[in-house]
Amino acid sequence: MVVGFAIVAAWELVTAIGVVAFRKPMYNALSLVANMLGLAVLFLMLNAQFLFAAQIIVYAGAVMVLFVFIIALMNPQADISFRPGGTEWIYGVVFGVVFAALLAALLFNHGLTGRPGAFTPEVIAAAGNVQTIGIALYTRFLFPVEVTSVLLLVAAVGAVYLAMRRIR
Amino acid sequence: MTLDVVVETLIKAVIVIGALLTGFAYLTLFERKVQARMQQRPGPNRVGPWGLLQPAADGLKLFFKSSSAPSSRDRFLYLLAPMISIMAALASFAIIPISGPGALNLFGRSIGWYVMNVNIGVLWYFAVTSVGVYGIFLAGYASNSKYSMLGALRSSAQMISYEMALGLSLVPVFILAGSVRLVDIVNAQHTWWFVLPLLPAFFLYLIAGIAETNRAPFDLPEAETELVAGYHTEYSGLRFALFFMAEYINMIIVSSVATIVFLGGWWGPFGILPGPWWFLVKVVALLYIYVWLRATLPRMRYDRLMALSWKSLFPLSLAMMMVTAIVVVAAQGTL
Repeated sequence: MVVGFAIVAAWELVTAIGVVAFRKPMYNALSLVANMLGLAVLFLMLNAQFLFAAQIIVYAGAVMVLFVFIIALMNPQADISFRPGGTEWIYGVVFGVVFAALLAALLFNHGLTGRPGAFTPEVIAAAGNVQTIGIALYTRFLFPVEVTSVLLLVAAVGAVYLAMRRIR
Repeated sequence: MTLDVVVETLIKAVIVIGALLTGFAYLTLFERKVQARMQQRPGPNRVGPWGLLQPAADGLKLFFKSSSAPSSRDRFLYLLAPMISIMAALASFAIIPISGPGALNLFGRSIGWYVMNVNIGVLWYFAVTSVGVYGIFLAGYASNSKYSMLGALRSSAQMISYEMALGLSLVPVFILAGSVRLVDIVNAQHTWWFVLPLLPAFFLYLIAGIAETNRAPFDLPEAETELVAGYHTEYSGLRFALFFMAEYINMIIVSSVATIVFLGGWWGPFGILPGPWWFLVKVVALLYIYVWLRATLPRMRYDRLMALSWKSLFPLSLAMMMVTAIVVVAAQGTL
């Protein structure tokens, strides 16, 4: 388990560096896809099979495909020659240090494995993985789920409205 | 996970991959033969008896062909794309149980008739196919050719659109079976196959499945009269063979999922055949429909294809899902 986590964590680090370090936008996007796949594997190792599938279907399979589409269609010149200036370096260092401090604080307070919750592997195995998350989403968290879906609906209606206005 | 489980899964995976590759080879022959019969010609009949060795000859030909590639390609992605396609195609078969309900007893172990029996079941299939889209899209992008790019755009847009209808058409089955685990779904069909109460969902699934695998009459991504060969225009030799394999293996998988989910999997009437044979018979029957459609129907126009998905199949499968849910709840008397 620890060896597996180490391998996936290394994969996550390498692909995350790839997201910012590559000089071709297509490779940046694909690094992000690889990173999301690694995240899905982490979910799987944490016994969250449904989140594994949802992570791949929604993020790697739908959201990132759109990113890749747009990059392929809108990007005639393949390379970016972008040199960060002086102020960008300062912002980058400040945010990097703050974020690292946050992560370190989390790590020292809770450890690498985190706190045990109500859903132990035994509880999940008894009810089934999909069933457990389904019951949680549609009973205890019904209101947030519905609010989020309305939010997404608003975005969809907005997109249709913009498209219709251009046709007219 | 102990070592023996890992070894067992590996052996099963090797067997499944071997079976799928053989299945792919003979599916090409099956398609050519059936289409030839439908068009009043004999079809391939020179290599071996009844042309049975034709797939081997085709394979050898592809193997010895010189591989040409465009010089302005993106070298890494050009290599990666066919690998993603074939890996996605092969991996999705892992969840298909080909027989049951018991397990096979070999060497003092009970071995299930599947590579893995995961709780998320069909969701694994959707996850893997959604990664498969990248194979097709990156092939078009990395080839650096207009035909490839247009084919890849069409193909990915089509696959993403039809994946919605494909997924939603299966939800009524989950509602009836009460599980997404494929073994549970098949066991729930012991007396009645789900195709009877859910006939509309079955047709929705078939139509969406044909579009999802980019087959005629929805084969716009490789409409040869306008796009040469679509996303794999610039691929030749064995690299082309990988895309070819992926397409046919995807056909086998869509048919297998339909068999499992709607046609009762390994259950057959009268108990005259053992489980795996029933499974095979049903899959071949569905594959015959694929070939039949290709031989009879003309290709659709692209805008009609997208309209069919978003304006007909998608709302219909949503409606089917709601009706099923209402009927099931009413039947349980909790409404």
